Formats: sequence, C-alpha cells, structure tokens
Amino acid sequence: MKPALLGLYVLVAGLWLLELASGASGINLAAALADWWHNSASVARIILFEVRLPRALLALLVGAALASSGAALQGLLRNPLASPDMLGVSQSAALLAVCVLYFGYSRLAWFVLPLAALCGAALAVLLLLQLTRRLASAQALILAGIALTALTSALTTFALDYAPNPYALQEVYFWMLGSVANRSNAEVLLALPFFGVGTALLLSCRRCLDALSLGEDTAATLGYPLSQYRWRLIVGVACNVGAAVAVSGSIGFVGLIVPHVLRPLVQSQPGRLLWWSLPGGSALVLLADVLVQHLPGTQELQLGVLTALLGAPFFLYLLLKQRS
Amino acid sequence: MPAMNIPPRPCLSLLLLLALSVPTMAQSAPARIVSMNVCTDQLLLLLVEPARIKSLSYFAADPAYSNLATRAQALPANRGQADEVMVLQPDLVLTSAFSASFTASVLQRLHQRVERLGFASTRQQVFAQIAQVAAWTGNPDQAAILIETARARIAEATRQLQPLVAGKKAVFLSSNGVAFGTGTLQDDFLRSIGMRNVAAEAGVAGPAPLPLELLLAAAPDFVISEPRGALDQQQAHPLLQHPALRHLHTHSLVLPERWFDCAGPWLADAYASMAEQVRVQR
Repeated sequence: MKPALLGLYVLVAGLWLLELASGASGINLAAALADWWHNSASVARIILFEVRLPRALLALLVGAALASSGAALQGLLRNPLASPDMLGVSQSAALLAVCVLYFGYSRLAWFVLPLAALCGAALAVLLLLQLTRRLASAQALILAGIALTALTSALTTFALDYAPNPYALQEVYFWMLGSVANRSNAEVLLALPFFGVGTALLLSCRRCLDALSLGEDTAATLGYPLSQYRWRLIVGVACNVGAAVAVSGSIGFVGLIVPHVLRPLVQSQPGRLLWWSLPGGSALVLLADVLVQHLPGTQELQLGVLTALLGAPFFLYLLLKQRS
Repeated sequence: MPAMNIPPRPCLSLLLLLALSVPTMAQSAPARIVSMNVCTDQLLLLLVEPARIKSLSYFAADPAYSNLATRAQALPANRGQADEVMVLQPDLVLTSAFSASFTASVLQRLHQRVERLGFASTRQQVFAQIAQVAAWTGNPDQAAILIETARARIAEATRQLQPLVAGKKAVFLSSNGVAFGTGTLQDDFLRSIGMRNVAAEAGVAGPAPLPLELLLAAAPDFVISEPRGALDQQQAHPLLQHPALRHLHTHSLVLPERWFDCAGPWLADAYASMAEQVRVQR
C-alpha cells in the first residue's frame, strides 16, 4: 500500500475518533467505555453507543458511498464535472424516497425506502447515459443535470402538496439539506447491505474504467463487454446513492470534490481513484460533521449546508480551471 | 372608538347625520369580518355571531390545526389571497403578525382595516389576545366570560398539578427534533405548574431543535408530544422514534399542539388534560 493511501486511512481513523468524541453533551468517553465493559446502563454509555456511534458510522459510510459514486460517474461519463448531486441523481433518489415516505408505503417493509431511492437514482443515471450520447460537450451534460435537478426538486414539492401530512414540506426541506444527526443503529443496518453491494459492484469495474478512459472503442478492443460493465456501474451508483439519500438526505458536493482532490495522487487512473475515493469521502464527511458540531451558534448547522459551503466555491474553481 | 361616538349637533342636517352614522356603526361593531389566520379564525368563532363572519382561513376547518373545526365548516374559507378577501367587502380583516403579510399590506394599501394579532407566549398574553380580538370586533362581554372561565379552570388544574409534579423535569417535543424552550407558551405552562423545562435548561430558545444527547443527559420525567394519530403521519420525528429513548424512565404525555399554537380558552384544556394524565400515570 502506498504511504499516501495509508495516510488517508490514518486520517479517517483519527477523524472517526474525533467524531465519537464530539457531541452536544460533555460525556466522559472513558467512563462510557467502562460502563459498557461492566455492562452497567449509564447515560454516557447510551449516548456513546446509541447516538454517537451510529452517527460516526453513517458519516463514514455515506462519505465513502458518495465519493466512490462520484468517481464512478466521472469515469463512466468521462466527464470530470459529474457527480451524483450535480447531475440530479441524488435528487431523483430523494423524489422517490419522499413519495414512499409521505404516502405511507415506507412502512410496508424495511427495504422499501432505500429501494425506492435506489430506483430513483438508477433512472437518473440511465437518462444521463442516453443524454451523454446525444450531447456534444461535457458542459452540456452538466446543464442537463441542472435541468434534471430542477425537475425532480419541483416534482418533490408537487408530490408533497398532495401528501396527507400538513408538516411534510417543512420536514422534507430539512431532510433534503442532509444530516446524519439523531440517527440510530437501525439506519446503519438498513443502509449497510446496499452500500456493500454497491461498492462491490463499482470496485469490480476498476479495470474497465481504466480502459474506458482511453475511449469506448479501445475499451471494447481490449475485451471489456461495455454494456455489461455499464449496467454494473449504474446499479452500483444507484445502490450507493439510493442508500445514502435514504438515511441521510441529500449531502452535496462530496462526490465532486473528493475524486478531484485525489486524482493527481493516482496519476488520473479512474480504477485506482475508485479505491482512494472510499477513504477520501469518509474523511470529508467526517470532517464536515465534526465541524458542524463545533461551529458556534445556537443551532447545529445541517451537514449538507456545510458541504455545499465548501463544495460550491470548489466547483466554480473547477469550471475556471477547465476553461484555461 | 369613543371619539367617533360624539353625538352630532342638533343643527346638522339629516343628510350629514346619516353620512356620519354609517362609518360610526362600522367602526364600533364590524359586521363583515374576514380572518386570514387560524388563530384569529378561532377567536372569531368564539366571540362573534356567525352572521358577521364573512370568511375564515381554510385551516379553520382542519382539525389538525383548529380547535373549532366543525364550527368552521359552516363558513366560507379563504386562502389568504387579496382578491378573494376584497370581493367580500369586509370592514375588518384579521390576520397574524406572521402570516399572509403580502396580502395584508396589499389590503392596507387599498384602505382596508387590517388588524394583526401577535404571538402569545404566556397565559397573560393569551388572555390579553382574547380581549384584544373582542375589542376589535366589539364583543368585550363575551371575552370577559371566556377569560374568567379559563382562568378559573387553569387555577383549579394548577392547584391539583403542583403537588404531583413540582420539581419534576419535562419536555415538549415536536416534529423535526424541535423542542419548546424559553419564550414559548409551553415553557410558561411547565413553569406555572412548578415543573422544570428540560429544553429551556439545555439552552433552547423558542421552538428549536434539541440535540438528542442533551435530551438523554437531562433524563426528563415526562415527554409531552402530539397524539398518536398526528404522530403517525410525521416521518421526521427523530427524537421520539430514536431507540435510545427506551432507556429513559420517562412517562409519555399527550397534549395536542393546537392547544398551544393559538391563544384561546383551550389552554385550560391543556391544564385539565395534564392533570388528568398525571393522575392516571401515578
């Protein structure tokens, strides 16, 4: 393993511990662990294992899922500006998630909500793939993504107008801002199988993505059945983004920033970038979630607001760099 | 408006007398009242005879928001649009200081009489708001009776509650993890019966999110929330649904938020229901 990659994993471990140590109440972590060891129920133990642990695990998993999806989409569409939230993939996932949530279908079975979000994400990726073939430039695809984002956001509001719950719009507004606060271990278990399948599918396409960076024809000549790999990537991205949206709302810009920061470290190989994006995404989301808990203010900032504050200027910088 | 009630001098012509007396009648007791806010809707229904109410907001007939939903169903509803209010030719438009502000300012520019009701965060302000709306509509006697009855019921329930709950910790939880801290009617309610408001002690001001960790650390004796039916519809209730709450030795109490959202005699229902629920839980 390269020292830089090892360093990234050490960074993730450090941030993860920092996340566990961060919170609104000043509990003593050593005491919480001691209570756990002696199996005595204390508030500190409950807070550590049922409030902070799921939050830290979700930040870790959601970050890895979003960043690897971003890296995969950039490789698949061969577009450095692609990412799940820039192209409306996250918002499509949110649209279907909101529909099953507010019309009561999510109570039918535990997997209905993540599955609906997954379908929304998959539909968006399929649509984008069709568009890529017809659109000339990389920028045109981003514009199509903006249109898809606007459409799905409008449809979400439209659907909520018909929801039986009068508070739905306000609830979804906060949910769409993205957060991993106040989640429980149930949410971690809900998302884990989808993250597992999704990430495995994406990683299985590493070599194909490398070949694809030379062009579709070259990749086909090298013996990669492109349509099969394309399906793996679509389902992989849909699993990751769908599960991330289902448990944490829409956390933007992670899938855009992380692959870009890491690309020079992997000599622009899309396959290796996928590996590195996993710890990279975890590190970014953990860092952002530690920050929202330590920023001064009466109310905690939503995690998605902070990633947008970091990510939007970065996106503008990318656009300028692309032009020069 | 006593200034308008000065009797006209005998030498004035009959025409002038008529011209003066029409606006005088309108000012003293408005006969075409429109309300655009669920709080003023409910106070109108309590204080004013239905014939004088030309329209209420569409929330008035919704039992999720309104304590008088069935009574409101007989009256026309509006959605707070300036044109639908204008066409009714009202002589008094009631709204809250926080809702339908564009419509209210349009109506004022068209020389409509618009009165805005503020936010009640204490019992005294609740009574003052009942009296205020009654003063606008010209029904002070009805208000005096309502206020007196509510005061007496609240005093009686407080007398029963104080020995049972004094010094105990409670928290009002709403959707999106919001709790009711300082400067809310819920805070005034808890303090008036001698209870400690966990949200206020944790630094929550107004209705604002309470971090789950602080809720667990505070270990409240009572968690107060919406009735089950309303909760079932709300997905974003992370605090109430979180499994960590099972570890708390907490009594759950149910008080509809509509008893606190708007000033009215239903605040006495909240006191009475609280007394009843605490007695049963003991």
